[in-house]
Amino acid sequence: MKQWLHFNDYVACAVVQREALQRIFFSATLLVLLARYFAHTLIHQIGSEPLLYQEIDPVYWLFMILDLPNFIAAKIPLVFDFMLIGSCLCSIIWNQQNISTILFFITHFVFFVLTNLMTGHHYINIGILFVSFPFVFASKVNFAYALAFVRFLFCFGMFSAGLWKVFRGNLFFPDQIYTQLVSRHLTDILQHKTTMRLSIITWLIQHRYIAHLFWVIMIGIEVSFVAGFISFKYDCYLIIGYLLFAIGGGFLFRLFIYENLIFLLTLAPALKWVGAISENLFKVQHKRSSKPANA
Amino acid sequence: MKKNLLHHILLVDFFSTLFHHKRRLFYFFLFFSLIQLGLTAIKLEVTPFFLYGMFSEKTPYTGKVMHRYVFLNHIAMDSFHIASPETALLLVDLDNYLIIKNNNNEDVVKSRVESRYPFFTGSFLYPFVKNKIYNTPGKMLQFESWFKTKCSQYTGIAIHTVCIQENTYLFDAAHLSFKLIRSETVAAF
Repeated sequence: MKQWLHFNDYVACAVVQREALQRIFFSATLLVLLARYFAHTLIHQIGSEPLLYQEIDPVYWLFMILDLPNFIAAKIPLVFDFMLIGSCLCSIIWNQQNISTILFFITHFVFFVLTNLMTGHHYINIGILFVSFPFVFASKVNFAYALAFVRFLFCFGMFSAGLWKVFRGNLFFPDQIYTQLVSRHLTDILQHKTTMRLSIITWLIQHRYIAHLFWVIMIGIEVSFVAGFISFKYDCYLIIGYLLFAIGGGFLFRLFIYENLIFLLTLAPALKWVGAISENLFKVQHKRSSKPANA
Repeated sequence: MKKNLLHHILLVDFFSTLFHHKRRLFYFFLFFSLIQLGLTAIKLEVTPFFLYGMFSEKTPYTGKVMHRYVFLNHIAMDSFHIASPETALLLVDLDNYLIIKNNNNEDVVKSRVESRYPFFTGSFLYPFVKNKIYNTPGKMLQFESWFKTKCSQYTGIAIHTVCIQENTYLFDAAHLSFKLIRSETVAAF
């Protein structure tokens, strides 16, 4: 595949792939929402949780001032969840319009804040929140620019997460991963469970400097996302790095950032793969439609 | 020459292209970026401008570990085999409840805001919003009832009593052994 050097190459590809990307993104989102349904964490399943996690975030405060958590979770929870899933489905089926994508973006933003208010102020999984934004644009060029901007935000999130750890002195602090491993697997250790994963975790707890090496590698992966600001050349490595980071986080810390895998759609190789797949699909469809009707 | 070199940096290429072709988008993204950088610098989070500093605060190992046990109708919650997302939801919410309870039933966010942001608490706005943005002691009772309802829903049996016990252990990593040094019932409802 030809390597992209300029921003315009990315824009041209995103413009052509807009509709295919919409289908892929919203299909992935639908899977995430289904996972939430089976985990009983949609709004109508959580119910109206009285104690809220507002933290020091003015947007969460605004939600509380407007009494939105109580109104949505207690009065219209089913309607709200239906809007969320319905707008997602419509965006998959009718992928050449942006009315349902705008509705989804707004509904999902509210959903994001509400679930965080009710289930803990988490913002590790922000993939859908950001990647749904470019699809609100009707213009394909504006969509492409917004997608590129989300790519930069993704790189910024990873890079700054690494910097926070470096500046707070975590890079050379073996206690950090050690404490995390013990606290996150404490229940299993106390219950003397005998899984292969727990055997590896307990081995790492007993060899804290090797565990620390994994910590340094994970920080290294985060910091390496600075390359995303400079060129598209390294995007393939960023995809590999992020997958390793996600697998490592899930295995070592039980942090499942599956929703953030959606961010990978904004990286250059993913766009090219989408292009190649949709081109092949188009060829197949074209061949079928060019056959005579009585063939 | 200098200009050409700069244009080889993707971020510069992005903003320069936007500036020339989509001026409104250029200002929007520039504004967004500046707010994100500014809020990161002052360590303030305003959704969707997030701080990505999770797991960066140093957590020194003290040799002691605390484990929380939840008993539903006097039976350990683990015995009910509630699925892990539901268990996570219950434990996270319970954690928030205990933090507020340990703070004399006052929302910890209120304590933090009043100690750190006098410019906000001294403003004319604060008396109007303070009754809306914090969890009140009355919500603690509502939570207890909600928690029992959720537990009943997840376990399939009516839950009448909830008891939370915290055990503190000395942890010996070499032998993976624990020595109980303290056990305390921190809440019962």
